[in-house]
Amino acid sequence: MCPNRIKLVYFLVTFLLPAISSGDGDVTLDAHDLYFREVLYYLYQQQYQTALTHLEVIKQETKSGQLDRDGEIIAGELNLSYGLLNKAENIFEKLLRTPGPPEIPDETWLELAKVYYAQNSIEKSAYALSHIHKPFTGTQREDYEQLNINLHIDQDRQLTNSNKFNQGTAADTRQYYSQYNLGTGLIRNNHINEGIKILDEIGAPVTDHDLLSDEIKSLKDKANTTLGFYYLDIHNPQKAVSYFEKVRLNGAYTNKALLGMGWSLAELGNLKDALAPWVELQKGDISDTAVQESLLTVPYALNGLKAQHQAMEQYNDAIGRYKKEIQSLQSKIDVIQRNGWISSNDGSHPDKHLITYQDIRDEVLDNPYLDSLATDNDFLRAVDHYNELNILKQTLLDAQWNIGVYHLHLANKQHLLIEQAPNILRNNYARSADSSKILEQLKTELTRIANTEDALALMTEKEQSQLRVLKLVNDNIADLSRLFNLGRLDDKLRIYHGIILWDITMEYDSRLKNAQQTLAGLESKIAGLSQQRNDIKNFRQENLGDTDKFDRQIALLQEKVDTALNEIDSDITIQTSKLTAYVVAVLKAQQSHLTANLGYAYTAIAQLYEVAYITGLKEDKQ
Amino acid sequence: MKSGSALLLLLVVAFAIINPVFAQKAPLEPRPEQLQPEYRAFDGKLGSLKDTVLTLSRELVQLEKDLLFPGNTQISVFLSFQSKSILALQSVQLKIDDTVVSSHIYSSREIDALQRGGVHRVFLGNVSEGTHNLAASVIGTDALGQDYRRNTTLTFKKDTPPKFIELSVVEVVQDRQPDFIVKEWQ
Repeated sequence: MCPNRIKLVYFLVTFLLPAISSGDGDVTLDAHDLYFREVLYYLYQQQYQTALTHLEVIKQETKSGQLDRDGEIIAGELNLSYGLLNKAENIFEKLLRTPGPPEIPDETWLELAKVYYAQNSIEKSAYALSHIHKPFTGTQREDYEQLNINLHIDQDRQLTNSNKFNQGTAADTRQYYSQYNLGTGLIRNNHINEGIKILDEIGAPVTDHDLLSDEIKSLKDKANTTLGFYYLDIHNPQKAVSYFEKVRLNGAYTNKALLGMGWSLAELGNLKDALAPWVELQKGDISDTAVQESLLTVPYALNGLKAQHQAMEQYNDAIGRYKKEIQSLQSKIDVIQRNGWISSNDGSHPDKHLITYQDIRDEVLDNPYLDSLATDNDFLRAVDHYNELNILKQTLLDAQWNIGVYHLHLANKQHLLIEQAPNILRNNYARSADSSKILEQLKTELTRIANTEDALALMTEKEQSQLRVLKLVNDNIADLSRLFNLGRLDDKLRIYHGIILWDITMEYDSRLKNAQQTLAGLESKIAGLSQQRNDIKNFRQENLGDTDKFDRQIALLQEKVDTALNEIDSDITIQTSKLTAYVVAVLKAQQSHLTANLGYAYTAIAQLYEVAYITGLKEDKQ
Repeated sequence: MKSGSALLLLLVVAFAIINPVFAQKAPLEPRPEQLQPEYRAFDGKLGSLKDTVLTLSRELVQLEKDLLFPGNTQISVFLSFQSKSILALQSVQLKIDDTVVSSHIYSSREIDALQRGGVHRVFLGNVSEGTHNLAASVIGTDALGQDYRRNTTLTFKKDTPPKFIELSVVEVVQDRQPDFIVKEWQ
C-alpha cells in the first residue's frame, strides 16, 4: 500500500475513533475501539487479509452488522488493497448513494482509478478519476497526471492543450517517464509536432549527463531511438541519423539504434557506411532481434556493394548461427515442457512457492529470449494469480492446522465432561460424606467437652503417654520400692501427676479454641467440596450442549476449508500450466522468428546463385 | 531483352521477398496491451476465492474466541504507543499471577504500525473469576538513545464479561522517558 494511502487511513482514524457506532449497544464502544485499532495495526503492516478478517469480526459482533461511514471507507480501502475490487466497488457505490461527511477521499478515488486502469476498465477508471477535486502533491500528483494522460490516449481524447499537463522541468525519473508517455501519446493522437518536441527535449544531451541516473540515461536513449525510427518510417533518414547518433553505445537501446543507423545510412544510399554499425551489431548476443536482423543486413549491404562472395559467406554464417540458436531454443523448450517452468525455475528452492520479480529477472539473465516477460502484463498478471493462489493456500493450510487444534481441545473438553467429571463428582461426594461424618463426630465430642469442661479429652499424646507411665509406676510402686531405694516415690508421683493435670487444665481454653477452629476448618472444607460439586455440575450443564454445537461447527468449517483447498490446488495446477505454456509460447515465437530469418537467408543465397548463374550466362554469350 | 526483363523481375521478386525481413522498425511505445479475456475472468474467480478464504478466516476467528476463550474467562491485553513518540520499543513481557503468559519482540514494521496508532493484542487467554495480578514490562531505547526497562503492575477483578486491558506506553514530556498508562475497558 502506498504511503499516501496509509496516511489517509491514519487521518481518518484520528477523526474516526470517537464516531464509531457500536450498533445497538450490543458490545460497548470502548472494546470496539480497541478492536478497530487492532485492525489498523495489521493494515499499517499491509497484512490486508488479517486486517479484513478482524474488521469482518467487528462487523459481525455489532447488532446491526454494519459499520458506520468511516468504518465503511476503511473497509472499502482494505477490500481494494486486498484485491476484492467488486466488494470495494459496492462499498464505494453505496457511500456515493448516501452522500454525507466524510466524503470518499480523493486519495481513495485515485487508488480506485489506478486499479481500474490496471484491470483495463478504462471507463471506470475515468469515472473514478472524475471524482477527484483537489490537486495532489508529490508522487500522487505524478500518478494522477500519468493516469490522466493514459486515459486520454486510450479514450482517443484530445491531448492538444499542453498547458493542461505539467510538463515540468523533467527533473526526475518519474517526470521523464511521464513526459515520454505524453510525447508518444501526442504522436499517436496525430499531434506529431508537439509529441516530437517533447521527445526531443527528453533525448537532448545535458551538461551534467554523467550525474544522471542510469534509468534517465536509458530513457533518453529510448526517446532518441523512438524518434530515429519515426523519421526512418517517414523516409527522412538524415533526421533519423541525427537521433541514432545520440544513443549511447553501452545501453539497452544500443542494438536497436545501430540497426536503425544502418538502415538510415542505407536509405541515404551509403551502404558502405551502413556496414559499420551492422558489423558492430553482428557481434552481439543473437537472442536480440536486432542482432538477428544484422546477420541478414550485412550480407544485404555486401551484395549491394557487389561483394557477392562475401555476401554468400555471411549468409552461410547466418544460417549456421540461426540453426544453432533454433536448436538451443528447442532444448530449452523441451526442458520446460518436461519439468514445467516453475519447477525448472526454483529447482534450488523446492519449498519456495512464490515467484518474485527477482526470480523473473534471474530467469531472463539465464535466458535473454524471455526478456519480454518482465514487462508483459499478461504474464505478470498470471504470475500474480499464481502467487495469490499460493498465499490463499497457505492461509487455508494454517486454518486446517488450527481446526485440528480446536478439534483436540474439544475432544479433551468432551472427555472431561463425559468421563472425568462424573468420576470427580463421585470422589467429591465420597470425600464430602466422609468429612461430614467426621464433622458430626467432632461436633458431638466438642459439645460434650465444652459442656463438661473435660480438659483431659483435649490432652496431647505426649501428656497421655506421660500419664500412662505414671500410672504404670504407680501400679507397681510396692514392687519398685522393695527393689530400689526411691525415697517417697508415691509423693513424687502425685506431684508429677498434679503438674501434668495442671498443664492440661491451663491449656484447656486454648485447646478448646483450636479444636473449634479445626472444626470450622473442616466445615469450610466441606463447603468447598460442595462448591466444587456445584461448579462441576454447572460446567457440565453449560458445556455439554455446547460441545455438540462446536463439534458441528468444526466439522462444517473443516469441510468448507477442504473444499476451498481442493479448488485452489486445482487452480494452482492450471496456473502453473498456463505459465509454462506462456513461457513456451514466447520461446516458440522466438524460434519461429529465427526460422523465418533462416528461410530468408536460404532464399537470399538462392537468389545470389541465380543472379550469378544468369550473369555467368550473359558473360558467356558476350 | 527477354532475359534482361526476367532478371529484373527476378531481382524485384527477390527484393520483395528479402525486404520484409528488414521491415521491422521499432514502433512507438505501444498502448497498454488488452488483457486476455481469460485473465480478466480469472481475476473475478480469484476475487471470489479471496472472499471465501476471508469468510472462512472470520468464522475461524469467531470459533476460536467462542471455543478457547469463552467470555466468562476471557482476558485480552493490548499494547499501544503514544503517537509520534520517539521511544523505540523492543519487547514486552506479561505475567498474570506471577506466571509468564506472553512475550513479544517487535519488528520495525510492527513498531511503525504502533506508532501510527495501531494496537497490538499481546495476550488473549483465560483467567478464573476473581482478583488477579498483571505485571508488564517493556524494554526499548529512549529518546536519548539509552536502553530502558519499565515495569507496571495492575490488580484487577475478573467478572463474567470479557476483560480488556490496555497498556499504553507514553513519553513523559519533562524527561522524555517512557512510562505506562494502564486502562481497563469494558
